[in-house]
Amino acid sequence: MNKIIKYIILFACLLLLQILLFNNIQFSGYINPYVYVMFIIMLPLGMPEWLVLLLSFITGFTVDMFAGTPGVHTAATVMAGFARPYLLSLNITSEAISASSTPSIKNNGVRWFIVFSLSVVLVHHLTLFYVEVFRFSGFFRTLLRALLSTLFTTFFIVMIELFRSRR
Amino acid sequence: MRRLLDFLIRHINLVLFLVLEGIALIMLSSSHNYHNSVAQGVFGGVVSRINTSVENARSFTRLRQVNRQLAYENAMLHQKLEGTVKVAPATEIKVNDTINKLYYTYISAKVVNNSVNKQKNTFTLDRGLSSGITNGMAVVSPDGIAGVIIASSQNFSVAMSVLNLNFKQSVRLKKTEYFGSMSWPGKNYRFVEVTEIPHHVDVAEGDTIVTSGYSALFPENIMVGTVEGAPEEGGDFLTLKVRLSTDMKKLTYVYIIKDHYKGERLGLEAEAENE
Repeated sequence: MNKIIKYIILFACLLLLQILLFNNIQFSGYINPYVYVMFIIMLPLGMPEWLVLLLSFITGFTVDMFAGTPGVHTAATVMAGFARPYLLSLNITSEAISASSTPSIKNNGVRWFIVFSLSVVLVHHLTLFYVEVFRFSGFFRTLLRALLSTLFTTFFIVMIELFRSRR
Repeated sequence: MRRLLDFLIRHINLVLFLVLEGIALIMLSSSHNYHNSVAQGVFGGVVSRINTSVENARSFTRLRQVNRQLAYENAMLHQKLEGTVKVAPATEIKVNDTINKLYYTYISAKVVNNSVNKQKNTFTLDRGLSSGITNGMAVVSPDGIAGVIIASSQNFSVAMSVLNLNFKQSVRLKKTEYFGSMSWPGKNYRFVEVTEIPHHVDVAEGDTIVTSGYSALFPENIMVGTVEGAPEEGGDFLTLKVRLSTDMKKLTYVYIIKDHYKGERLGLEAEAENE
C-alpha cells in the first residue's frame, strides 16, 4: 500500500516537472528532454507486463492532454512499456534481482541504471520524434533530435535518481 | 473459437500492446477534431485551467515588455489612423475599408498555451466560438504574423503556429512585389524559409517580407520578417532565410482577424474552378 502511494507521488512529481519546467524550456530545436519516462523505468522489476502497458498508456495519455498532442506521447510511452521487459532481460546482471524491487542506483549500481534508462529512453524518444513528424523526409534530422534528446533525458533522470537516493 | 481464445490469452501482452498502440494512432489521426472528443470533454476543463494558470505566471514575468510593446503600438495607431478607427466593444477593433464597408474585424486574445520546440507547434488562445472565432481565421501579433486558427471550443481556440511543418503562406517582397511561398523548415524557431522567388529578382539582406493577400488566410501587407544572409540558389528559384518579426517564444497578446468577405471570395473562386 505504502508503495502504491510512493508511485502516485512519483507520477505526480514527474508530470509536474515535465509540464511546468521541461515543456517550457527550450535548449535548442534539437533537444527536448521528456523526463516523465522515468516513471516507466522506475516501475517494480517484477511487475506483470500488462500492468506496465496499462500504466504506460495512462502516463502517455496524461502528458498528451497537457501538451495538446493527442496520441503522440501515448504511442511512444506504450512502445517503451512494451520494450521494457526485453530491455530488462538484456540488461540483467549476474546478481539476482528480487522481483519486487524498484530499479535504483543503490540496488543495481550506477552503470546498470544508466544503461537501462538509456535503452528505455531511446525506444521512447525514437518512437516519439518519428510519430511527431509523421513523415520520413528529414529522416536523419529527426534521428539526431531523438538521439540528442535521449542523452539529455537520461542525464536528467540519473540526476533525479541521484537526488532521490541521497535523501 | 476455443483455439483463438487460447491464443489470445497466451499472447495477452502482445494483444494489449497492439490495442493500446492502435488507440494512440487513432487519437493521432483524428487529432483535427480532438477538441470535441470525449477525452477532451472530461479533461479539457482541468487541463485548460492548469495551462491558463501556468501561462498567467509566465505572462506576469513579461508584463514590462508587453506594456512597452502595447504603448508603442498605441502610439503608432494614433498617429496613423487619427479618428478613422472606431473602437467598438472594448475587445474588438474594427477597420473600415476605403468604401466604408467593414472588411476586417480584429479581436484581441491572450495566449494561454504555446509551444515552439516541436515540429508541429500550436498555441491556445482564450477566445472561442462565443467570441465568433472559427477555423481558418488569421492570428497576428503586434509584430507580425503568428498563426491560423485550426480548432475552437466555446471559450478557447487552438491556432497552428507559423512554426508548424504544415503551415504555408503566400508572401511577397515588399520592395519588388515578387511573391513566393513561406514555410518553416523545422530547425530554428526564429527563422522561416521563403521559396519560389524567381532567380532574377534582386534580393538584399534586410529586405522586408510581407503577406501577399493571394491566399484567403491573411490580409495583405502583414509583416512576416526580414531577409537574413545571402539567398540560396537552386534551380530556377531562390530560397531565402527570413528572420520572423514575431518572436514566437514571447507570444502573449495577439489579434484574431475576422475576414467578412472570405466566404464570398472562396465561393466565387470555387465556382470559377468548376466552370
